[in-house]
Amino acid sequence: MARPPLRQYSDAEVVEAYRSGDKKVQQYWYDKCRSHFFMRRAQYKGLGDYVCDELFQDSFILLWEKMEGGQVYLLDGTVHATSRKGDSEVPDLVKYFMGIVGNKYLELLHSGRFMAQYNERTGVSGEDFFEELYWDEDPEVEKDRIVSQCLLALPKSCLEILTLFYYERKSLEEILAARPENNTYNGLKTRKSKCISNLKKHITKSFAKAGLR
Amino acid sequence: MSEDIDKRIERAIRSVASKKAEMDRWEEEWKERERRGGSRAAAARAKRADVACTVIPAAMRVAKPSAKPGRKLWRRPFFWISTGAAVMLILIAGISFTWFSDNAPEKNTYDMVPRDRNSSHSPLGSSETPVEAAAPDELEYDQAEPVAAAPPEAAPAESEPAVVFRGGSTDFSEIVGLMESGKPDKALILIDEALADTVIDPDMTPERIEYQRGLIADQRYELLWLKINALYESGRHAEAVDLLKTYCRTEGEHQKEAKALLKKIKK
Repeated sequence: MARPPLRQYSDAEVVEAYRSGDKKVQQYWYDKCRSHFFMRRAQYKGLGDYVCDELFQDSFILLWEKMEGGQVYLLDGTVHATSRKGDSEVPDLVKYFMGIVGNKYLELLHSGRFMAQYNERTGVSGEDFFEELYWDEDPEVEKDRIVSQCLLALPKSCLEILTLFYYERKSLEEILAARPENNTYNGLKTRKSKCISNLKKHITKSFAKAGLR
Repeated sequence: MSEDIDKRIERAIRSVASKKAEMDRWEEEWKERERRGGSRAAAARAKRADVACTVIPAAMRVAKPSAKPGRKLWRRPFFWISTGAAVMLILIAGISFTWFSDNAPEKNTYDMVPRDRNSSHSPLGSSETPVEAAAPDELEYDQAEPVAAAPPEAAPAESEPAVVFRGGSTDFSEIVGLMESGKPDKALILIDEALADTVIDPDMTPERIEYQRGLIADQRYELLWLKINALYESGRHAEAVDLLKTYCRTEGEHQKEAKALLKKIKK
């Protein structure tokens, strides 16, 4: 028996779903972005599959936050987005998402951590992509966005420890039991402390870059 | 400001963690759909006349079956010649495999630490999903199989990092076989050939060329790790260190192991 065609949702329905929490539409949008990104991942040179998947995830979370926070919003049934240059209509939300991916990619190249050379991408200055990614008319929202992305840039083990501690509300003893790679209580405590310390340094640096205090 | 940042961090962790939990679930379902969809699309493509011509790094080449079997194939002499050749190859491969299995040293993983057979850490390769090779007729990149995410590593003890070579990929089976048989010098020859084999057919579409470039970049990352391991095994530590200095700065699956190996060599 042929599978009935999946329902397509409009960009406006997607933006509304991310504000209201409609999981079905949210998943539809995730699948659409994922497939779109996957077909074009070869253009993100110098990244292995693992980092490429992270690029997608970080970009998707950023767009999610923009929709939740209202930077991407609906006006008279059409999707708009705010930027420092002013509000403008978003005719194609997938393209807007891929723009975020492109800017995140530039951010990765700019960090110097990857084999691809920064100067392979032309026409975008070192500051433009940062502003494009994180700016918000409300500095508090901008700070929150920067903190989220700094968190995502942490090593995987740090993110795991902090998630278990702050999100799942586990004690250090429970985390120690769940993570065999952390051999001792003191080792885990030190590791958590270093993760937070590095995160704060990165956040402070990013705030300064954005002109925030 | 410190208190402000602490609260923001906690808020961000809760927000990011809840989103990631949802996304992980969607990712699993997406990958499952892609796997099912990819196999159906590959079957559909096999029926089409225009099988794309692609250039693949040497380590990835696999035997390509005939695209159009046709009727009364058995009447064609070429059919019998190619079938006979295939049978001979299978026999030779089977005999070689049996010989290597009988003569290879007993170990389950390619272990970079001094061969401590009493080491308690579990081999990385034992439970990991291997990177799937993209066979030639699946190189339409919109149908390429997604790479399964690597499971969390069984990390080594903090006092002595165990650097384990994550073998088992079908892409590099010959290279891995040579290294596990204690022939890193021969493996190095194949690795260098594979690293050099990056010619892309200029007649391909721009999208396919871009896809190939990405594929080659991914393979290069894995091949360099193999090369580092092979140089280390061959006793060419200085060359291994030269490669490791750059490799350790590159984020990726083997970054942690690379750092541990560099630290070990420099001791």
